[in-house]
Order: sequence, then C-alpha cells, then structure tokens
Amino acid sequence: MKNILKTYLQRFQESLFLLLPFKSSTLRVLFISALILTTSFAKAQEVATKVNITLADVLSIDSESAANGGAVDFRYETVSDYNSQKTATVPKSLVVTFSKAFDVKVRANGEYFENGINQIPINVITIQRNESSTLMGKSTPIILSTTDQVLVGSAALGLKLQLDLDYIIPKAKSSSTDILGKPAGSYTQTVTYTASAL
Amino acid sequence: MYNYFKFVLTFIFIQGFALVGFSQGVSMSPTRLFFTGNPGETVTQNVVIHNGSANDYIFNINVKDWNREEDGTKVYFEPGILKQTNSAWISTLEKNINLPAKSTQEVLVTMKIPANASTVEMTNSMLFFTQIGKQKDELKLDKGIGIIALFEFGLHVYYTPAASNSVSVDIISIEATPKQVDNSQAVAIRLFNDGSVVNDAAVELELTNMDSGEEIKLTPINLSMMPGTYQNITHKLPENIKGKYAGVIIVKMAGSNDLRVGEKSFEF
Repeated sequence: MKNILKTYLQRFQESLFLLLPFKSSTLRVLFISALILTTSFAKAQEVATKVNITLADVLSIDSESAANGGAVDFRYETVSDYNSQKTATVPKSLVVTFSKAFDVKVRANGEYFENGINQIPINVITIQRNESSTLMGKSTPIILSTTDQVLVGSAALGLKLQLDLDYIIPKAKSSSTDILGKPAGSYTQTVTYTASAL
Repeated sequence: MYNYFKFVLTFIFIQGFALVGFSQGVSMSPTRLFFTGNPGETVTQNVVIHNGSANDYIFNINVKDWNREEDGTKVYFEPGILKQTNSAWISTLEKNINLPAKSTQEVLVTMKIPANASTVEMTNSMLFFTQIGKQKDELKLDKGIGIIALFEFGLHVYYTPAASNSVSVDIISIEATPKQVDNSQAVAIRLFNDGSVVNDAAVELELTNMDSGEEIKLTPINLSMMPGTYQNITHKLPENIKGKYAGVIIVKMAGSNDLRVGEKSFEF
C-alpha cells in the first residue's frame, strides 16, 4: 500500500515541472506546502479587504420643519396694518436632507383663503427664500397659486438643509379690496411644499 | 492600513447619514424608480418610507404626468395627458398610508408594461406621497390670514425599454448672454440628450484669462435630461469680469466615463 502511494506521489511530483529542480522529497514537500500556504494567505487577504457599500438615494424632511402642519399668521387690526407691507419670516420652513440634487416647489390647495363664504384670493401672498437659508439654489420670489411653482431649483445635495421663508403681503394687496373691507375673521388655506430629485 | 482608513471613514459617513438623515423626520428611499422590462411584463419595486419623528402622518399616494422645460423646470400635468406618460401603468396596493411615529413601511410599486409599449422610447411619470392635514394641524387663529403648511415627496418613475442603454449628450451651443441691467453676465450652454436613457450630468465651465493666465472655475451645474430633449443652462459669471477669456465646457455624465468638451473664446 505504502509503495503504491509512493509511486503515485512520485508520478504527481514528476508531472509538476516546477519540482524537477528539487532533488530531495523533503524539499519538494516543503515547496508544495509553501505554495498552498501562500495561496491561502493571499485569499485570506482578499476577503479581509473586500468591503461592499450599497448606497440608496434618500430624501428626508425633518419634523422640526415648520412645513409640518405649521402655521403662518397675518393679523390686520389697525389702519397702519392695511397701509403697509407685512412680512412673516418662518425659519426652518423646511429642513431637508437629500442625497442628490433636488428642487422644492410650492402650491396652494385652493384658490382662496376661506372663512365660511368669505374669501381672500391666495395671490395676495408672495413667498421668497430668505438669505439666511442654508438650502441654496436658484430662487426667485413667487406669487402663490394653485400651480406648482419652483421655490428653489437645482438645490445641491446636503444634510439638514434649512429653508427659511419670507411670506409677504404687499401694501398694494392689503390696501385693495382683496383684503380691505372683508368681514372680520380667520381666513385660512393650506399650502404644500414638494421636494423631488432634479 | 489605507483600506482600514477608508472603511472607518465610510462607516462613520454611513452612521452619520443614518443618524442625521433618518432619525428625526420622514424619509423616503429611493427618490427615483427606474423600471425596465419587455412589453407585456409586470415589474415591481419597493419604496421605503420611514417616520423617525414623534408625530403620526397620513400620506395620499397619487400619480401625475410631468415633463421638463428647456430651462430644467419640471412641470406637472394630470395623469394620462402627455405622450410619454406611464401614469396608467403604475399602481400601489393602497392609496393612503398611515405612518405612525417611529415606524417604517414598504410600499410596493407595480408597473404593468402594456403589450403594445414601445421598445425604444422611454416613458415617465411622478408618484407623489402627499401629506394629509389632520384636525390638530388646523389654525388657531381668531382673525387674520393664516397658512397651514404641509409637505409632499415626488418620486420620479421611469420606464426604460430593455434594449435602451446609450448614455450620450451633445453640446449644441455655447454663448455669452447680453449684459443685464445690473451688469451681471453669464454663459449659456444648450445641450441635447442624443442617448436613449435618462442622462444625469454635471456641466463645468472653466475660464482662463488670455492675458494674465488667471483661471476661474465655476460651480458645476447638475442636470437631468430625458432622451430626445434639449436643456439650456446658464453659468453666472463673477462680478466685474473683464477681458479676453478662453472657455472650456466639460460635461460629465453619470454612468459613463465619457466626457463632452466644448471650447469657446469670450470677450467680456
């Protein structure tokens, strides 16, 4: 049995051209062992350094955003209220995290601020990005309407980007019959801010 | 050592993103869905919505058509109006989802590709997750004008025919725009997506003063284009720029190592 194994081992060794220079069988065994160990070690190194990273796009709107059931109030109680421009600045109107470039649009969900049967057209409001915002991008003041309008375009990706907004009612609107002369009361409307990838 | 360093940095980044991005608000992933398949097939993808806040939310799921104007602005339309719409192919199991505080939901989006769908043309639509106001969101205002603000996620939905894979864009023109009233100046670049898939690209503009050799690198502008569409972008120039400049436009396209390079001399 031992002889048969020895014959097979010899043939195997002879078939390995590389082993011919090694005359002693001890040297040949050492060489084969070294080869196996080297290969195993190399494989072990490969596995240890292989890191798979799977990144998915993500969009997040923080709960600290004012656009989260938040409210903006304008009060008209004196003559000077009607005879001046009013601005309500809402810090953190939106706090957005986006892993891609994106834009923010806004629309009103109805044509009027409503108080029962009494109405004030929504176009009395102008919205603009306040300079204090960390959410940067193309932005121009927009007059509120039921159409989706770009509030901030081509905004760069980032974490916790803060959009501070100015809500403005110009004097031309507050001193017009759009607001002046309307019955006293609370006029409300909802607006929706939409964030989407570019 | 370098690999360990990279691993540690990546780990910190992912952990940081997870903590900051997911813990305190409502998040959605992915932000764009790319479906592919053959006419007649039904394909699905999951959208994950996570509410890390202490508030409960209700979202209405609805779909609209949209296209992009040449200045890059997305315009929404009622579903089924546009030629390249796939609004009617899209469905979800629920039209409204309740998202309690500290919860995660997966929304399965199914696309049934019609048997007669084009095998060469892309289609698109936008899936909206619109916050529905609740009783407590109502305004506590006795008199005056009040706005209640809500938010909405817009999820791009694209269908790319199985054989479409060409990523390409062509620079059509590079022009200095006339000086504006406020003395601001700009360079306008017109691009055309001559590939067969959505092209996400960054457009860079580098200016070199021909006399002094001074170099100006402007912030790249990101854009996304449907195949067969044009887009105009405008690089605003630094104030008081004056002299002769050599301009180089570099368009880097996502998903491709190809670049598009354009050159033009300017005198501002």
